[in-house]
Amino acid sequence: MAKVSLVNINKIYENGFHAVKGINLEIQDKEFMVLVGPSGCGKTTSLRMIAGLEGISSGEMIIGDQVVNEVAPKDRNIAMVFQNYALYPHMSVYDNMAFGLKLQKTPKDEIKERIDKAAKILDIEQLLTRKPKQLSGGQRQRVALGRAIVRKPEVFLMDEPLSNLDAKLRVQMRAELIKLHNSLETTFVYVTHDQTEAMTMGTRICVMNDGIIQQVADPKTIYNHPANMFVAGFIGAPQMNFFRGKVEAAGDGYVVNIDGTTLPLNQASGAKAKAKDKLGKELVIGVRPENVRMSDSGAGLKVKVEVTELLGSDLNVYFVLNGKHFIAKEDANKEIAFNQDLVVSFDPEKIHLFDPETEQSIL
Amino acid sequence: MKDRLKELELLLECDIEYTTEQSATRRSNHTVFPVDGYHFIVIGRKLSSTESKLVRYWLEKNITNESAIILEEGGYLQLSKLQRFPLNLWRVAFKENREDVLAILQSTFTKDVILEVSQNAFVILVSESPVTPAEVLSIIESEALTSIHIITGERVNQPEELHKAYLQLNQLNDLAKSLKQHSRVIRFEDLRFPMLLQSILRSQGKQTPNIINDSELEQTALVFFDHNLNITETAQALFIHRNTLIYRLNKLETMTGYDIRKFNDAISFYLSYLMHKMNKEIV
Repeated sequence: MAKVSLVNINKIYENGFHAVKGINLEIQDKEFMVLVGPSGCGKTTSLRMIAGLEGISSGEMIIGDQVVNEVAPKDRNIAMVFQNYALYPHMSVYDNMAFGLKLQKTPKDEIKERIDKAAKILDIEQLLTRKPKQLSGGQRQRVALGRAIVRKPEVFLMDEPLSNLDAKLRVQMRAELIKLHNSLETTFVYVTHDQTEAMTMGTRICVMNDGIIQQVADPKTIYNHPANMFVAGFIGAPQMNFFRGKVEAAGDGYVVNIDGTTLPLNQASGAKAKAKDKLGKELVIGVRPENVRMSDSGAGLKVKVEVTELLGSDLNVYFVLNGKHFIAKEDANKEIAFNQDLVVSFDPEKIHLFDPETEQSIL
Repeated sequence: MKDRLKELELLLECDIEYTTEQSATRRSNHTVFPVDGYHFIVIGRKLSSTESKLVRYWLEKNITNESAIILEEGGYLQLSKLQRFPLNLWRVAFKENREDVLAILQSTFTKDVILEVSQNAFVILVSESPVTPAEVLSIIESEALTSIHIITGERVNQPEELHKAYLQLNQLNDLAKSLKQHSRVIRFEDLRFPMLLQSILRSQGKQTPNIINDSELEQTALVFFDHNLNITETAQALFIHRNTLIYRLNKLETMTGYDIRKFNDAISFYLSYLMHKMNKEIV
């Protein structure tokens, strides 16, 4: 078992491309850390640097208590699982799982013991004599995980391991991986571009963009208190709405003012805006679709419905305000028609405020 | 020469005699080759024309290992037990753990010839691959724990094309670099068009259309092409709003005159872009 520390890690490629820009990240022992971000954000490069498959331009990589910058990947006691989890086509499941151990010259008895144990954990004991082509996609993925488990690594490194599975299987394997993490009690570092995977699997999430860590926190904090507009927009589906407006004092409380329409804001957020000298100044007001309230009349922003999408349990309502497009998540039973004029307000407790220049949260 | 004869014996699977006797030239059911003015080698059976070519080549070239099959122009003649054509060359370059990489390749490509072309690279003559290059990459990286690059070449239909196909792998690597493609798997199929253009440029001299000097727009255009001119997919891949993408495409049009949302403009822009990149490389 080991913790992993990235200290001022930089990766600059030969062509000058700065893929990872001085990141600092401490992954605790037995933690399930998810690195998430859009393609090209540096998450896979960071994972490969932990593995030793990619050199480090500067900084320190520490696994356990050892600086591993100069340690070969095979001596780092890690195991990797990739998106393309190919198995040796001519070998049985047992031999596929044994192959890596044979390369390490592990004694036969020990190989058998480790495979039996891993097969039990993954519930593939009955598949050990089969060839890969006789397995389903999910079973093959389990064998690929088995290959990693039998190495008994201190750290599991996974690079989008579920991306090749269909949507249904992906949901199933997500739960399997969480169970696996609980039963193995080992450090997991998991890379994905899928914010749902990140939210559902991670003990903590590290959101990256453009080679920089944007925020590291548990899923709830990331969702409820995004550090900046990037995190706010990346995490959550449909994505957060951003309006331009101001925070103003109103009597004893505070309101947000969007194009002359004022909507109530909670006391704590208003006070923070005031403390940071942001009252009356242009801000970005972030509201998640589920915190948008729509009604036929009353106080609020007057909008026109563009499209509705019924998702079974929810109804996504796309609306237009001053030529810009926004989205609200409503109850599926609500009757909302195309082109309908509605009034929109926000849950005052769930309004996010961002500085338009720095894009950082001011809350 | 006597030591080298063992190699030839193994290659042809028959006894070979090295002699000075002039009578050697008159032996029936044998094939005799003069080595110099005084010596002959006598092969204990009649050879096919390909095998005879192979022996002549062997006598001239002092071939010491199998990799000459692709490293030298006539090296294919060594392939007496030639494998099935057509095939593809896959170059697998790795950083360390050579033995493990070889063991993995041998276990994956059980029916194919694997040649060592340097301390850190193998070339596989792949006739029918059970796995994709990306899968081989992930097997090796996860099992041998070493970083690797794979280049897969054009289809090879006959032995004579092997050496050229091998040289093409290096060309593909250079071209991918000059086009800023840093994928760990480089495939001929993805670079077929630039390869063609490169050969035209090399034969016709150079023009330098100054297409674009904005790395953000350049990246946007390349991702747009990768996603088959699909606005939604491109915006998602770049993690930008579709309106931002449209703004950038409009800006590109203002700067270059190409509206790459239109098929003809996209083709023209891409060609010009490639010519620009390759001219830089050729210069």
